[in-house]
Amino acid sequence: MELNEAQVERYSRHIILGDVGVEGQAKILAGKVLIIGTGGLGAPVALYLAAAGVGTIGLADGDVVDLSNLQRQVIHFTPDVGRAKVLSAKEKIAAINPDVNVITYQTRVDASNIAGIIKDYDFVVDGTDNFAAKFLINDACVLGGKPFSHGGILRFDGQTLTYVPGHACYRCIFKAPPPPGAVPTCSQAGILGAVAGMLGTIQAAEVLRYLIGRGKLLVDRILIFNALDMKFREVGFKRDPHCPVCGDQPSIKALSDERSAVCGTKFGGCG
Amino acid sequence: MSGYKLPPNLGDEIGALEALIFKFKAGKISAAELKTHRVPFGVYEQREPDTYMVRIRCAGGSIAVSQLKAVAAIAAQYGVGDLHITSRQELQIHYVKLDDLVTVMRRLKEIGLATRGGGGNTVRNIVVPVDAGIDPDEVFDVTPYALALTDRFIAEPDSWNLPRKFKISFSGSSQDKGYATLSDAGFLAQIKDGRRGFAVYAAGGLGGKPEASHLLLEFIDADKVYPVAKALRNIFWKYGNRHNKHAARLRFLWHTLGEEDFRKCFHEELGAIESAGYLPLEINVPEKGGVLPQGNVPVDPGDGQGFALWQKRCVRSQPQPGFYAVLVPVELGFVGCAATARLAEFLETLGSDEVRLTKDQNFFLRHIPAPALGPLYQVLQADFPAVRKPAIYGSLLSCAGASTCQLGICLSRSLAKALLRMFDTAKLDLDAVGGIKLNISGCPNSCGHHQAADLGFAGKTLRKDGHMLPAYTIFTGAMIHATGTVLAQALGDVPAKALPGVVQAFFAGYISKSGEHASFRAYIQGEGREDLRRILEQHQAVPDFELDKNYYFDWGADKIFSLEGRGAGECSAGKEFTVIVKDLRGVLCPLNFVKTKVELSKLKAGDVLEVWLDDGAPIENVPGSVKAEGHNILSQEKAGTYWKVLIEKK
Repeated sequence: MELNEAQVERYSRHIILGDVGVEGQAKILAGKVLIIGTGGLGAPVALYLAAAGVGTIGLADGDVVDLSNLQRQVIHFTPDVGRAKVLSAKEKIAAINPDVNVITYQTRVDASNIAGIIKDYDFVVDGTDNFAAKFLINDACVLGGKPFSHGGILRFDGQTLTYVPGHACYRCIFKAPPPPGAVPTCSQAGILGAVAGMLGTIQAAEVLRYLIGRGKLLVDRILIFNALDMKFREVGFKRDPHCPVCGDQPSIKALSDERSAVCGTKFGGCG
Repeated sequence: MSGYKLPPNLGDEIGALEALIFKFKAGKISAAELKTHRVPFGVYEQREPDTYMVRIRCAGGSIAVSQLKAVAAIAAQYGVGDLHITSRQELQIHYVKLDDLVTVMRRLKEIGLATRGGGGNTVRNIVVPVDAGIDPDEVFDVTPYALALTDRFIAEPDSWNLPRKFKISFSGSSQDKGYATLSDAGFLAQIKDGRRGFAVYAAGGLGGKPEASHLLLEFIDADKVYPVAKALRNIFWKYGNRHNKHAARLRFLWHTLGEEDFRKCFHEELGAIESAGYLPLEINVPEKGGVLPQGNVPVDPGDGQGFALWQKRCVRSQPQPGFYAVLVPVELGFVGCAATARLAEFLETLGSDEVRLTKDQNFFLRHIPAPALGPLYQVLQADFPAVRKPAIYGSLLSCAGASTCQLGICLSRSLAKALLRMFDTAKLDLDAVGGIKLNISGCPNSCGHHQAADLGFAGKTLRKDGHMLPAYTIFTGAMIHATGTVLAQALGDVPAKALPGVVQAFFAGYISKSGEHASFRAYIQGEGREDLRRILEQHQAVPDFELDKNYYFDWGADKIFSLEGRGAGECSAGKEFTVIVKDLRGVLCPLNFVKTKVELSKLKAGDVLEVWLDDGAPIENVPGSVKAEGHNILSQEKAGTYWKVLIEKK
């Protein structure tokens, strides 16, 4: 792949890096990444991946921009209130980097459509705000053999892990969504806007490192932080052979929508 | 005269080099990689394929007579029959085959000599004035200090991995005949309150951007030579510029840190060395003139006028009554192995045990008893034709020049030969001129010490109507002295072909009024400079290319002058490749590095890329960054206002 003059200059700070270089940037430019949810997590992920030159970015979200979103969903601006999030985000991406091809899915992903949406992408980013979607994305990616980045935020907390086929999945730790009402929802608990940015940029870095094939991904470990005291920790875990979806004798062989459709928990999310 | 002591690990180091040579021959490492290991062993490749030059450390410019004889035998067996005396007072064997390198090193080791540190970014030969020990003006003999410091430094691995070369010199008097004021670390003998010690000079040297050293310490006790030298070497190791070899010598650190911080760093390092504890140098060589020779002295046959003239030109008395020092002039530093062996054998019969090597590439004998002068003259006459000639034949100094050096612009050695031919035929009273420092460098890089000369020349290129022609910048009037060394100043440029005429006219002018001046040196530093400027103006005209092509050929060249082949470097050894050239002039940091990486990404491992970079930040940053990514910088050289850097892809 030959970079043109403008690309050499635009991506110069990547090319300088010994672990990226021209070869790594070429992989980024050839990358296809689907971001599910264009909210608090999806916004920084989309911005950084667009800036980095990811060749194809898919955006899946059925919502429209709400005034309360602007406190953290930095890809949307005040005049965008009321517009479809995927269209608002697509415009910003085009303004940042015309190299990027954006494909929008103005719909909520569910068991019926997710497999078709993810199949053409190299990597999937979970930027959703509810357990049902998180388990659905996990199951779809495990069954479809797609790597993905899980992310969840609530109040001052964030957590993220990366799934790569053959390694532990989200269900290896969290077998099933908690019952509705067992954990506070976003509307009850709130979210510090910058926490969304912190976690989203970690996810974006995971995507880029996956594309260039360098470094150690957050595989078989989960990164948890608390931004109130600004403490980070990491918990290692292994693929569970009894995991219902990626285990040796899986019970989940087809996708279905989970009952819980409410906003996140300690282990859920608040997109 | 005990010489220096070889470090215990030298055998292992030679073994490691041998292993690398095997790897290279098996195609497992590149020529460029081998080069980075062999050069610090004093081994340089010559222009002829598979031939190498081996440089032998002669600490203090001294070699034992028995060693000299053995080196002559080794050079006769593995070289092409001659030895070369260097301007850093060492011996070199030329035309050694790759397969013989290690054997040569092991043979040298058997006789107590090492090549380690002969080249590369290392502590180079530690030198003293050639007459140290027999100079009536010296404060004390500094030779034992140079030897003892050599013993220490060549046993320490930090001496072999510096940002650039590191030159240490000693002088016994304020005359500074050892160039202590033109060295990275210079020690000038002094006695204070009855104690032996030194004034310490630092961060000077010839070469690109030459500079006289700075007085670092007014006086140190003699037992502090080791920690002071070590502290200077250590701060160079720690803080020196490893990215740009053209701005790496200690004098550049003096400027990048600034005097205040340089001194602070030095004193911190010195303090650390002193508080950790150290052993002062062991000074164990007899200090006034070495051991006087014993043995049977042959009878003096004498031979009239030639002998008398020779004594006037080449022989001088020593402070030790009855003994004489004898300069043996060697034209351009090349001397036959057989002649060297015969000289050594003769000296053995005198019981003489040491020969010194001069900066202007001659032998210097000492402790010759008066009755032996006649027989010595006879021995020398047969093998050293310059003994019958005025001193200038021996003092004329030239670097190797473009015939063998990749950086060379002009064929400096051919110019030197042209000057010698002029001396032969010009009918000048050259004895009136004396043994002035007449020094030639084939390019501005001062290997011929043109900036330390009474009359010096540095090769350059001139153009007329688009045609290049070889030329020299003339430098005059260096004054090297403890009270303030002044480098020779450029006077103007002259075409190479006109230079012997300039020198002839200048010498003739001086000789015609030599009675008016104390010496040629005094003349050059006074009105001689204006005389020379006038002569220069009369010789600067260049005939048109179409009318007379003679000016467009260098001395000794059979092709029209060009810079073709310059800087191609040793990378050409045994390997075919095409060099892709990328002009990155005008591209700022870090985009120039980015573009270098882009170009490298298009190449295969082992391919070579040439990039052109601006001076300043680009050349100071890009090569280091490229190297940090594992690629190999084969060479970097200045081409006018910009730099050409050759990179081998990893």
